[in-house]
Amino acid sequence: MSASVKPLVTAPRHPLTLAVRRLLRNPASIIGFGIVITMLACALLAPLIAPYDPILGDLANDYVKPPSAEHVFGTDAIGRDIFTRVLYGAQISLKIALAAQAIAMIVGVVVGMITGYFGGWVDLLIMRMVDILMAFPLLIIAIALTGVLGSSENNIILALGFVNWTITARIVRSQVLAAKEMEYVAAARSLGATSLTLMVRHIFPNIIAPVIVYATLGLGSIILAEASLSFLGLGSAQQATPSWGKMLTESRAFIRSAWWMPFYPGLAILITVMGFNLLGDGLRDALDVRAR
Amino acid sequence: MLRYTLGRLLQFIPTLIGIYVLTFFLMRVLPGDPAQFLEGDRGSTESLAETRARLGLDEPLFTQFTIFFTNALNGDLGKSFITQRPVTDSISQAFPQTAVLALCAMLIAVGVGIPLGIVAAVTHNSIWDNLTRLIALIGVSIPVFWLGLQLQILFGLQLKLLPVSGAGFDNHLVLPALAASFGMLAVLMRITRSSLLEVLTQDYIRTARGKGLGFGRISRRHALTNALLPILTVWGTGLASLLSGTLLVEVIFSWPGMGRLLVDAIGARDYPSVQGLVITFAAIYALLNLLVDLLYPLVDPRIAYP
Amino acid sequence: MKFSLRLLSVFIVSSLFVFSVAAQDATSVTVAFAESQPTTLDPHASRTNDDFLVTRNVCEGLTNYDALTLEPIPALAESWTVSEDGLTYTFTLRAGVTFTDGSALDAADVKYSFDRLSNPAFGTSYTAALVLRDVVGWAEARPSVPAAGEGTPTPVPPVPAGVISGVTVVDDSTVQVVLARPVTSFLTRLTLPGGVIIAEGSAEGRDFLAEGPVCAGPYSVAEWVQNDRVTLTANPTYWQGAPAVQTATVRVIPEASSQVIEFEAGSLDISLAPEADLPRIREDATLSAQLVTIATLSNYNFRMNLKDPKMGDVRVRRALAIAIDRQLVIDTVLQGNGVPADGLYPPGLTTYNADFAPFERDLDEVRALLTEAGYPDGIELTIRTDQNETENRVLNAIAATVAEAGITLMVNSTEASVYTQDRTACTMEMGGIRWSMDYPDPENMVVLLLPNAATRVNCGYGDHEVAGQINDLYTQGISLPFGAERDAIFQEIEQIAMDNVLILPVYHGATTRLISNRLGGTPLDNNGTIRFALMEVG
Repeated sequence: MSASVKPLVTAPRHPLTLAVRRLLRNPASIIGFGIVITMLACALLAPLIAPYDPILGDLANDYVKPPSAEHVFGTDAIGRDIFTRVLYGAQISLKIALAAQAIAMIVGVVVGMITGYFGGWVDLLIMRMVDILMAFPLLIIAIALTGVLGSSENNIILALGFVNWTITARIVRSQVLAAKEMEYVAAARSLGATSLTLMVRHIFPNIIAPVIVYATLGLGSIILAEASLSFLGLGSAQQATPSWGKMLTESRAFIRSAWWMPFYPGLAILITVMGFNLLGDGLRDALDVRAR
Repeated sequence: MLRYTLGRLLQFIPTLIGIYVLTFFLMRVLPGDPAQFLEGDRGSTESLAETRARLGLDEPLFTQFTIFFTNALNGDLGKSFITQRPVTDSISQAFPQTAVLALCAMLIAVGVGIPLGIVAAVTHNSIWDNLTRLIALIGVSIPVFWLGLQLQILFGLQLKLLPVSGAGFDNHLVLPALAASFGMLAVLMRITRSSLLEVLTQDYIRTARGKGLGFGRISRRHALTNALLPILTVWGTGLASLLSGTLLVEVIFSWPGMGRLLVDAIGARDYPSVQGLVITFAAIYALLNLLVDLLYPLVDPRIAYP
Repeated sequence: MKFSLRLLSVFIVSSLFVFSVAAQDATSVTVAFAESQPTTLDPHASRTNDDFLVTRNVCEGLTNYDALTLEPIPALAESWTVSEDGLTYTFTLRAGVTFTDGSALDAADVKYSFDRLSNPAFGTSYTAALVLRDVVGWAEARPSVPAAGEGTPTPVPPVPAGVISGVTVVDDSTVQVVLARPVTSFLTRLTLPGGVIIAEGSAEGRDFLAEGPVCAGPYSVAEWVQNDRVTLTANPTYWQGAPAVQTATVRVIPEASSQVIEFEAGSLDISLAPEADLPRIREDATLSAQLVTIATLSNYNFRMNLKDPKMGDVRVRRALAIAIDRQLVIDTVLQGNGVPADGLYPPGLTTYNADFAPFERDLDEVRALLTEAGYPDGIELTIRTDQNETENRVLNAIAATVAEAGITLMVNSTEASVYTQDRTACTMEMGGIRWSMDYPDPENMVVLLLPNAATRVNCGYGDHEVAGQINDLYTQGISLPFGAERDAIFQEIEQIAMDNVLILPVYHGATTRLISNRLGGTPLDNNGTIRFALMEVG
């Protein structure tokens, strides 16, 4: 007889499927996900859906006008439509945050894996450096980098990425330290795997979960950091680029006479950061129940 | 414990030196000349040369460094380029301001954040839980300066309850401390909640419930002490970021602390002031970390002193 | 846990009910610094407006200026005579004047003060130059360092003696000052903060920020708190009689909008009134009654790199000059605080000519000029600035108005120290210059054209074809007595400068302040300086 034998035990579901399921069951993380998608859409579709030009305004007629039918978020001190600038601002702020975090992640993962895996004096030296960097006020490093390289958008990205890699490195390192003791590592090594193979093919996939979680959570703080740097006068030099932080800074003087000018960029920052935080929390709960 | 403390302090010395060296060279690499900043638009070629000589900027870099470094080892952090006053004087005037502000912010964060976190954990999934979670979320997501400005308007102007800016260890402290505490408050709340929740679902807690112990006693005696460890960790890292977080608050509320000094000094390329302030911040950060590490065994007897 | 919670709540609640607004009684006044805070309280080293605010209220010089007319009036010098050739000034000191440390004023104090001012170790070069540059002995007091040539060792400058030989003591109550050139503005410049008299020997080892200078003005420095405030108390022995306001507190509130909030809350008697808040202030009956506008003698202009291929072409400069809609910018961004500037001189100077309008806005002419210069399809220009908020808004507004003429103006704002550096080396096409006059004399505007500062040298102001002509006219004009002939010379300079568009003037500014109703007298003089001694309270 060729009847197929039904297995007694069904194969366990892929951990990723379980994770996504758990993520989707959590209303907070759905909201977070929704927010993030919406903001990304605003950023990508800005040129299509924005009603006005973000740089040229009608100074004569639209100087600091409150929200109206023509300008849903009002206008600013050059007569520019704020809704348009918030949409384009999503491009800038998100680009800076994602790029900076990407840099931080890459550098942090590499450094964390090397120090965690090899240990010894390499670990000591690099961790000492990390201590020094983390004791530095973010402000000085940011000014230094933007000063040396020029105060452009790319350099803000570099500066923020440079400040944040230390956090990722620390997390990765502690994960690697724990993973090193795991059985699968010993098994792989006894089968003759090289260090590099071990790191890339075995350890890395198992530690990536918390990295992604912290990366997502960290995006929020990078957006806030960029806003703070703009507030202190270190944002990108070119006047026209409307990052949300820059918009907030420029409208500081108007906080009482034109509430809409700082309100909408501030709200955009708040909602976006909230979105990343909710999503990050959800990911943490979903991917690793005991994540710390 | 003493040995451990001394060991940590000794370990920090090379870090401190490293920071000093890094700051020194970093500042001088930046574009922007302090002499020209002082002279402004009215500087003639002669007066610029004069000012540069007076500030010692014409010496070769290593000579400048040696002078600064050897003086620093003797406790002389140099004189501000702008005011010609010793850097140690301006730091010692500003330090208590920042310390008090940070301390009050921390008290608010701990005094409000932890209880709220407990409430949230204990009333898990109720409306209180969700409300407090929302507040926490907003707390970590809100730009501090926006919050500060709104507080100024609401309490300072519309309700006329509190002064809007300026220093003073009285009700001038309230708004700045409130604004500075928000971030840490939110984080502490979240960590208290999640840490306590985790502990509350443990078996030994269920056992205690099963035995008939009331919720209050369980919370205090069993749950909270076990939840304290992660809270302490977060509090420790939060302290350091609180120190730099007060920077923005100081700018908004015109609070005369070290953060404001640092921002102004960097803008003016006042090298001695920047160097002195960075070292001070770093030293404070290290000491706080040490303090947190020393507190661990007190919280959890299982952890011995390394 | 519970205990600390209770303690904390008590702390919060109780502090909410402690009202801390300082007792504003009838003899104390609270104001705020206009920029940030004083960098020094040493009058000879004072550079910024915040330094001047304190110096002008605490110290006096041989002359002061009238609060309304801005003309020099006798102060510590009771009278003076000027020789026929305009070179020798003989001052008779006022009798019975004492410094705040009790010592009496005599000629030795004057000599000490001017010597100290001339000493590079104490007196800031610009402050000292303004007062003493024409006095005999200035060249020896501030020797210039010649640049080292190839192969020669860097010359070591002679050490200045800290003495200005042109100032001499005739007797206890008479001082003589001899000028190297008969410059008419000397008396006006003596009213500047650098020219105040301090007590002989009082500066040695003195911590000026903590103690203030020893002067003979209406106030003395009672307290200085870093980054927070400076407190002045009335000088009972002031020669004009003790002032009405006993205690004057000047607070450090760098955020202008915070100052307005404090004013509205009643804790500031004088505050800035930034443009952003003006519409709201003007609509409020109480506030608008306390709003004061003072025209500042200033000229916001563009300094152009005359060596740059684009900006070096006068057609491009003129095209930009006439493309700007100055009035629109003033009406919107500046909320009316200002007057369009077509030349050098602001209203208030005798050389101001309301009919002088070489830069009428004409978009056709702009396009014609640009085409002629080789840019038929428009031109892209970049202007540098620092992070001053108002200036950035002004430049953005200007960019908006010139866009329709085919000029794309990019605004590049950087930190002040970076901008200053690039501006001095002139590594830019153009830069925004906020020029406020040091004293009300047209010669202080012509300075903008002269290659006597590193920045203007590097931007090519000395090499321009009319540079020599302007310099000759300037040298001639400063020696003439005040009057029509002098004015005519300065107006000729203005004509030449604008024909060649050596600088691009944009607007003459004004400043708005909120001054509390409880202040009478003359709280603000026409120079925009707060004068506590002229205030009445209540």
